[in-house]
Amino acid sequence: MKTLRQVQAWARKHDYLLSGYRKGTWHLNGIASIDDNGDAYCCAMPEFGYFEADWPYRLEEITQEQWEMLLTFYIRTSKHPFFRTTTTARKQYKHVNAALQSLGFMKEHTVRSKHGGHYQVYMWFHPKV
Amino acid sequence: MTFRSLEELEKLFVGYELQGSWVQGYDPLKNMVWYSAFNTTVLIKNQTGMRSMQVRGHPNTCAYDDIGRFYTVGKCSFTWKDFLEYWLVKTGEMCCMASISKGYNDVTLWEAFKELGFKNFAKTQTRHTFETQMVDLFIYVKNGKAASV
Repeated sequence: MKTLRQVQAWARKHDYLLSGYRKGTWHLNGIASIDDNGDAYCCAMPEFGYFEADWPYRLEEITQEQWEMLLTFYIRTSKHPFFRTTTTARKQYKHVNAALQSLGFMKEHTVRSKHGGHYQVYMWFHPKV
Repeated sequence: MTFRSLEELEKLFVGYELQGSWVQGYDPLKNMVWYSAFNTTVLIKNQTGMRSMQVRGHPNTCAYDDIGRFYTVGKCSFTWKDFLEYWLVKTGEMCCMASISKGYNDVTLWEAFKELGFKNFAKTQTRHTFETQMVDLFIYVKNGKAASV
């Protein structure tokens, strides 16, 4: 995984702005965002999600590299001890899933979505960095 | 892990009052099976004591529920294992996660998770108050692989 300095250099090179705060939204401005939801209970197991593309992009148009940079920035800056998220197996999430895997997230389980169970949900975890 | 039947478990709670949402729902419009408590405190009590826990539905993909804030007040004739097993069987919970600290929580709670077959998939540190306290992260998927795809 890249260092925070490397990610910031990459953002400068591409004229991107990276921002975010705990329990808030983390942006690769004008491109994509993720939300940090914190943890409901003991704060040991915060979660993030809501992978969204900024208008006019669609989720599948965001590249794996862009997701990797946003996620690395989030991981390096938020300093959570542990990370968890869920994504779906649908093709729009192809680059998100590839980025998570590339950053060392482990796919702990694949479960059926509760929304009718017609698609799969991947549960990803990343230990302390 | 084979759980006791609902009838068998209900015998343990005769004389106790249940509060909170204990029913799994189905929304035919969305064709969605859901645990009816997006946020609830499930509680079993009588005159001498109570045990309770909170349940939070997952806000993102709805793949699992978080459970936490486990409390015991007074004396109960049932254990944490009885409580959790009853909750799992009665609600038909499909997938849930909990983070338990052996040092902070009642040790019988930690043991209950192990005995019920929750997978202790990671260990980490709390972020506040008990900085050095280690926390075990547990996950439950109904019927093990049967519920997984």
